[in-house]
Amino acid sequence: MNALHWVTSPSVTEPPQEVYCQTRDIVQAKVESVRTNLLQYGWDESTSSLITAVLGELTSNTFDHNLGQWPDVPGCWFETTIDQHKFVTIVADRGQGVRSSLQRVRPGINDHEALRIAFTEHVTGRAPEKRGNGLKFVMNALREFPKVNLTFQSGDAILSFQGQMNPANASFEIINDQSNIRGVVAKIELIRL
Amino acid sequence: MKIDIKKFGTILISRPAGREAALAALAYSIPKNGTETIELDFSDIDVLTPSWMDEFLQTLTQQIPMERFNIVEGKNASVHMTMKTIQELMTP
Repeated sequence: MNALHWVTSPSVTEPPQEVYCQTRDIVQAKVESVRTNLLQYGWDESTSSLITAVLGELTSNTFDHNLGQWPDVPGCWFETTIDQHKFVTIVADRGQGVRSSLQRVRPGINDHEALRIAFTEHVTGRAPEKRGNGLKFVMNALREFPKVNLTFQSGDAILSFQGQMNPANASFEIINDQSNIRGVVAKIELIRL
Repeated sequence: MKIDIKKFGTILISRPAGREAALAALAYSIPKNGTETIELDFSDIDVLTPSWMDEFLQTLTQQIPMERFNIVEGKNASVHMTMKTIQELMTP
């Protein structure tokens, strides 16, 4: 089973134990260990710090926007692969998804618009609380890396971000896909220069 | 006065933790009255996220005006990126 299969599966099952984080405490402990692991594999302090913060934001979103709202399986799928040259992570959940979360403050939006708003505007589904920095931060942080790919799917929209040597040239597009998922599946691949 | 943020931990990620840190600072470290500048020193932080910082500042500024705080960023990349992202929010 991979994360996409788990999120799209009609049967309600928990992810494999090694990647399943039912509560915020569990995932936060795993996120914190990523920094240590990256440093042990020789990644620099700046990269280790930024990547850990990015994972902190992605996993926090899972719990901040679904607390008390889980449609079936609570928590998230959190998977990382680290070596000296490459870092890969997958964060996924079977929560309400980005469009559903933002619809209270932006009625009538589709999945494509929801992703654009979530990654580029300071707006949050938890208004009137002043939130909505997390995914903008993710984008700002990933721009620091020339060899990075992010894919982020929610509903039938997929955001793709690709880093470049010049951060201003980093590519960012949102496309519509045949598949339609209720929650979120995010994947980051980072190559060390 | 100076508040050494590392006393709340060096990996500062979640909103609940940011709120808890602010409430503890208000209860034990920051005098409610007065005009003294309060320096928030992030120098020895390993990881900071906007979620933690949002919650920390919002909770503090419910009781103390933002003008009294002076933030010392230090050299950590995630601290810099968090401040940059939060400042973008504050810029119209």
